[in-house]
Amino acid sequence: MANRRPMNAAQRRYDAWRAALLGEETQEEMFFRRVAYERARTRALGAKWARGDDVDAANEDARRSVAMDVERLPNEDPVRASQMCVTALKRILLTHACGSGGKRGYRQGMHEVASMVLETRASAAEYSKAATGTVRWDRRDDEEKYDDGDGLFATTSYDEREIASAGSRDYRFVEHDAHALFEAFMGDARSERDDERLALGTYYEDATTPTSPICAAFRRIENALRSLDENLAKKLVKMEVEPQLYLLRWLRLGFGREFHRRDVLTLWDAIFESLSATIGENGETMSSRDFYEGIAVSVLMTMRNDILSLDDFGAVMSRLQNVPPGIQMQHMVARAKAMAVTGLLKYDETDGMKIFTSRKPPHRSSPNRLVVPHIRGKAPPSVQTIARWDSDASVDGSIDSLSTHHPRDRRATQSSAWNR
Amino acid sequence: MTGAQSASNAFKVVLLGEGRVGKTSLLLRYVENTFSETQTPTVQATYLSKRVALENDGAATLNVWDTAGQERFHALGPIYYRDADAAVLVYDITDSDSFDRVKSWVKELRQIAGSEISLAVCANKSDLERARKVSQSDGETYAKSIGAAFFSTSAKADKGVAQAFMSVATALDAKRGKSAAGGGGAGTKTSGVGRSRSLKIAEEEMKPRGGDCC
Repeated sequence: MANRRPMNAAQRRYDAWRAALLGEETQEEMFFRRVAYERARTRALGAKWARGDDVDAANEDARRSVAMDVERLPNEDPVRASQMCVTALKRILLTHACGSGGKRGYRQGMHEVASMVLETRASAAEYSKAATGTVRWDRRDDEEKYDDGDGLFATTSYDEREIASAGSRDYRFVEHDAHALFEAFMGDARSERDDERLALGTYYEDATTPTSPICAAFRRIENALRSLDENLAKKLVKMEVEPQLYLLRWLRLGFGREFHRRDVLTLWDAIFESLSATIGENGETMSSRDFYEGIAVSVLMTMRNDILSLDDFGAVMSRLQNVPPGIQMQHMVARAKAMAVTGLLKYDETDGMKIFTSRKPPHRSSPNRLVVPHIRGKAPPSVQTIARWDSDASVDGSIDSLSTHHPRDRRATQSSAWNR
Repeated sequence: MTGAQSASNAFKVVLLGEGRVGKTSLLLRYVENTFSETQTPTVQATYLSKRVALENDGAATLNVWDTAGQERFHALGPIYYRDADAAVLVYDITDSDSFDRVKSWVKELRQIAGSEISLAVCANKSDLERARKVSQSDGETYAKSIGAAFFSTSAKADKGVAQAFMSVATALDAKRGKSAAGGGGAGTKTSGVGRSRSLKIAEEEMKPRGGDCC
């Protein structure tokens, strides 16, 4: 019955996110996932019963931080408006912190990411089988059963028969599914490690250790920027504007605070789409992590003229903390895709050291370096680019639709990435 | 002071304290004269800068790093407190944990930034007098014990905020002037000699308002 109703925009978005993050799930898989969440949640929340004896300090810490942040969601965040959503959000985060979040636990910023996912799932909720009919999932009569005042206990769980029969957008499993999407986005639970795949959790690692994955991301972004726009990269270095000063927030929040909410949703659509890795008619592949980090490079490029014209640290920092409005999100996305496909974000750390110390910068920028063609539009490669390719016999023939410049040194890495 | 000199008269200040004590609110009140009941948590750190006209007709720029209170000191990274001229430590008078947290921040700060750094303590949310958990005298005594200036502030009611930042700026300006003068021919390394670690701020001016403003 519900299936025949036309899907609204929110449902289409949720379905796309779900497919990208969770893959195709059978009814049975969905059932086990939801049941597993109930158990994990009970464990995470249950730790509180031990209060007074030997409370797990980390859990207590997470509980406190989660509550503190969730209660301070931005005014414009729709989750704020519903106590039910706020409560669900706390439970999702605490379950993550005590479960797959592992040693890292809860970190500030996760709350805004999870909130976005929760809101998307909640907007797609279907009520077809609800006994209460038309009530929104978050304004139901049995609300008090969810919230014992503290806002963190789940005292109600569904029995397994109910879970087994529920559909993918069933209003009763908003929290369960939002948790699953959030977990998948964080990427901690993935068994096979794939460094090329975006796992937001890695950006929450300690940024003060140079070997940490987020510091590797800083280096990839800096390197890509240097290849695309040497002047801009030099300027930032000269001003002592270190990447962690602005990139941490961008990367940890999925750029959630940098753009208007509508644009953030569009961006996230593209981010999740990139997880499926194949784009374009020729089946070019790209790393979703490279795409994501390419967005950061893309944002920097849009501020290029501003940054180059500013002459003190404070002014540059202010600009970086306030992305100018009016950004064409589709353009940003296309540009980041082009960077990812051409391997611009690939960065061999050992090779990089050589570049830093003894070689000239990898690539002389050309006058049209800011022009990165749309992937879909299949813009023809520029004359110069073709000339360069022609002169370089080692280049893989499949690059024909792309003319983003990339460091010569990267070519080898790049071809092998494509052939994978 | 020439214009060229005053342009370089910039100080790096770092705001530290437990989450939700009002660091961002204090800074926004000071820099933009705004206040929001629902200030979103700071992720890692935010940078704000303000040009201050000093009472001696000079000027200074305060470059303030507003940090995320929920980050542990080490996780925050030295980038924010390295070379800081002053640290403003903030606690919430209605939350004694946040007061304890200030003490642990100071200990860590001393280890890493040394005794060079000037300290100021802000007892924030002074508009919530009824819910007060940390007495004014406890705050003052502690501040004195670490050689820090003490301010009772309310970002919401706009009490004591401008005074606090102004005092920090004035004290840093005086300190820099003194160390520059004192170090005249004695080489470049004047730090530690010319610089006193406490902020000798015009406390006389603050006193009448300090205790009973709310």
